[in-house]
Amino acid sequence: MPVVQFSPFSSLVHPSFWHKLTGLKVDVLKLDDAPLPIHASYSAGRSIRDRETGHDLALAASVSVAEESFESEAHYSPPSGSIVVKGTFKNFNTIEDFKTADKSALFNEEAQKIWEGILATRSTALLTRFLLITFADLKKYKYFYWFAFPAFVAKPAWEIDDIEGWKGASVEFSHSQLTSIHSQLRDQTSLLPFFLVKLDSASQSITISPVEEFSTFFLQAESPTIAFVDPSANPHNPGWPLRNLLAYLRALYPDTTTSLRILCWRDIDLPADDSGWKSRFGTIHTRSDVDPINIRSDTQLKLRPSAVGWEKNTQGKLAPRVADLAPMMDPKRLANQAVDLNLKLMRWRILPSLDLDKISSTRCLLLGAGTLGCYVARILMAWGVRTITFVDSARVSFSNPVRQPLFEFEDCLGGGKLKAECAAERLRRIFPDINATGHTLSIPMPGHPISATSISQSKSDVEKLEHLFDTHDAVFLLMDSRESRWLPTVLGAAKNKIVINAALGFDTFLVMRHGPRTRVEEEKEGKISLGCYYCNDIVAPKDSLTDRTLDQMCTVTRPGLAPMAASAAVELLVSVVQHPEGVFAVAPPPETRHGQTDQNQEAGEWEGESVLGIVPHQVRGYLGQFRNIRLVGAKFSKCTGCSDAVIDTYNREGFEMLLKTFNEDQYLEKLTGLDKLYEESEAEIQGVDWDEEDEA
Amino acid sequence: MFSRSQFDTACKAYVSKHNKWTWHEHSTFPGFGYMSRTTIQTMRSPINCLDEQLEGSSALDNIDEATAPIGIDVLTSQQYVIFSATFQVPTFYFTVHDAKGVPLSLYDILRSTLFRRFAFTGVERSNHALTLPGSSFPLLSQGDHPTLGTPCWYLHPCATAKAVGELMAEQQGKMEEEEEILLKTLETWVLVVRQVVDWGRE
Repeated sequence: MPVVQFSPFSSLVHPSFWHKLTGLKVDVLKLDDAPLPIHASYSAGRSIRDRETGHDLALAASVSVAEESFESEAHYSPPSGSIVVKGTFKNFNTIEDFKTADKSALFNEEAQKIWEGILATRSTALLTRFLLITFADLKKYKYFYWFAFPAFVAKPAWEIDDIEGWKGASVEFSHSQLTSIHSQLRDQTSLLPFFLVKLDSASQSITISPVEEFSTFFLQAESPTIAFVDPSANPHNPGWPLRNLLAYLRALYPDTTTSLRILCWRDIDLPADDSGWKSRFGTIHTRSDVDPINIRSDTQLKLRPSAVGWEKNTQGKLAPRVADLAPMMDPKRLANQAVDLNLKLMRWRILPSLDLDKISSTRCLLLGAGTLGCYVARILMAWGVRTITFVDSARVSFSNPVRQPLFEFEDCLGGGKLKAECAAERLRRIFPDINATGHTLSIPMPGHPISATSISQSKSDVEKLEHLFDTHDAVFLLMDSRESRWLPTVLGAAKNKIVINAALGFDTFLVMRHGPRTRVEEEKEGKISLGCYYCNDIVAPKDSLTDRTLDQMCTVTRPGLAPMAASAAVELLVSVVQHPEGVFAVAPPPETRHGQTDQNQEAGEWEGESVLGIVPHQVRGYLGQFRNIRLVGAKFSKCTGCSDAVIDTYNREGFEMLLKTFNEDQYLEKLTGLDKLYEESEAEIQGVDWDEEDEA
Repeated sequence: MFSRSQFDTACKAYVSKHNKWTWHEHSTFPGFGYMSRTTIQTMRSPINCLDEQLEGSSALDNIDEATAPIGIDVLTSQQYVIFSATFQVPTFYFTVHDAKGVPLSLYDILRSTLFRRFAFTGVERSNHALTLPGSSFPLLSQGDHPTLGTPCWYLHPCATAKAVGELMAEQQGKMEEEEEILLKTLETWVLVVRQVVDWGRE
């Protein structure tokens, strides 16, 4: 006769269980690894119909744990139609403890509890127990765990008649008898995990009773049947709880239990019709005459049989399982996804061809972590830019926080935090996944001579800045003085970076992109090469305290101006990046003060548009009139910032050339030929015969 | 399609007719109710997530002839019907997790029995959305459960009203009581959702 094989339990963990365990570990248990009582539940076996084959597939017999599993017995309420299982939970503090724990001892302890329950209380309430050991790697959201469902091994094993085997319960019982079992079970205060079924031969009526009444209930009964709520859905395998029930019966009633009629109750819900009963029935046997020499003694029976029941992992090995919740739980990853998701909404709706990766992969260097720097960084972040680097030499001062949105009052205390580092830290606080860094660095400027003692410091600052240019794609010039923009202008031109420049006046701003170094073919086509910040000037940058123009004054500005300029600067960068020609995108013609340009423009047919529209060269904002005007400025061949003379000399001489610029008055003028131009124009002015009398 | 109170009425009628579903109110605020149920799903093809091997998890292997092989691994799907205030229609929200309590990735969800096979052929897939080519809205995307605040997946409700409206137009005039009409509307919505979701018997 074939050996009866029992469907093992398999664990079913609800995500809330891990959340609860995390909270419990952090707030309550901490380093306490003492065992805790825990609850789980199982229900009758379920199967699903495979739509393709039409066959029923037996699902694993689940023991479920969820958040409420940690509640006390009184507060643990499993879904209706399920059975509560008590267990022992032990969480280890380290993975090593988890690995090296004496698992056999823990398991045997649990099995012993079941066995003692049988002998001492003769109750079936403790027949199904479980053990759960865990290690929670909270930093990685990884949970190592191992369930065990101890079941006593019957020796010799139970066997079933191979002709009859397991059959549908409706073969043994009538539809009305089964319906009667269903309704009697439902009338119990809680679902009985195990019960006895008795048939009255005269009336053919069915009575059920708790197993504890085994000795009295079955007196002179015909075909007594042992039943249990069966978590297995497999037609040929009864579920795990039956094993300990059989051990219980053999231990307590050895003389009357060598052959048993078993009803595997799987119909918690009434079937739709009388052919729909899922419960199974079979008669099983064990040989009582294995060892006829030994007369069964009380002590021999009381000896605990060996037990099995560790759950296998997903590879089918007897080893722990691992729940890796990192992809779902790491809030940084969630934030990361959410940021992208939000931007992707733009693609879904308005701009299907927007290339977000191109934007987010643009590494941005922000020179200046002041009012403009703070706003620019925030808007870049909103566009999904992942690399933002600040350069600033100052500390946060008391006037800063109200205007500079990355700083707080606290940052000003104790002399103030370094602005660049502080701003970067704030970006990470807003969005942990961002790659934000700050460098405290003062950018040497023309007209601010460098003394002999500070040359080496200055040289290392320049080297650092050069390195930052090399490792970024776009550079924002957001400093508060005019001359500090010179070195970055030269480096940007020499290293072919996208340079976006923003400067504030009291109620006016300038936002522009520096023109790239011209490509030969474009010069041939006669296209206008776009200038840099210095191209309109006929004086070289120098100490600006005595040389102010509209867009070079700092700090005294209408507060709303900085975010406007910052927004325009970032949006200009994004437009450049999205344009197929990138920095070479042709700028639209300038507007007049009346907001009009040529006919093409009015018809909205500017050829050079990207998905985001035109890519202007310069935008000047006039807050006094609430108006922005687009301008185009051509490259100036004698420019002190981007002319070939300057760039070529820098490329050739490097720091030596820069040092001359910082220290020698008129050096740039001589280098570019501006001095000659100046002399020529002076001469011309002298030559003009001003008719002053008419004027008067 | 529905006002908030019509949605509530329709759901409560639906719940009393289909006992797998339950109606929940928000714990503090009225007007945030939703209905939910739990279903069991499986993978159409085996899931490719093996347990990390731990060294030293030693030989507890004692062969037991009375242990049967285990059944098919179970996936649990929590399903919600939630009112979309924006579109004024019911919206289908859901989560799916495996036996380890790990929520499934979109890739694995699509290989589960939750959706009808081929329900999403020709659809563009990213890690967090499914979009029909040329469509302006994703068919399926991630979002927080509006009442519970937990992460969920949902079927985008933008095309719902139109589809339900077309089907309901054919029923016009056959019903009189308001509750009956509301219930029928919700059932028609279920019919629309069933085109992609394997709704099962109720």
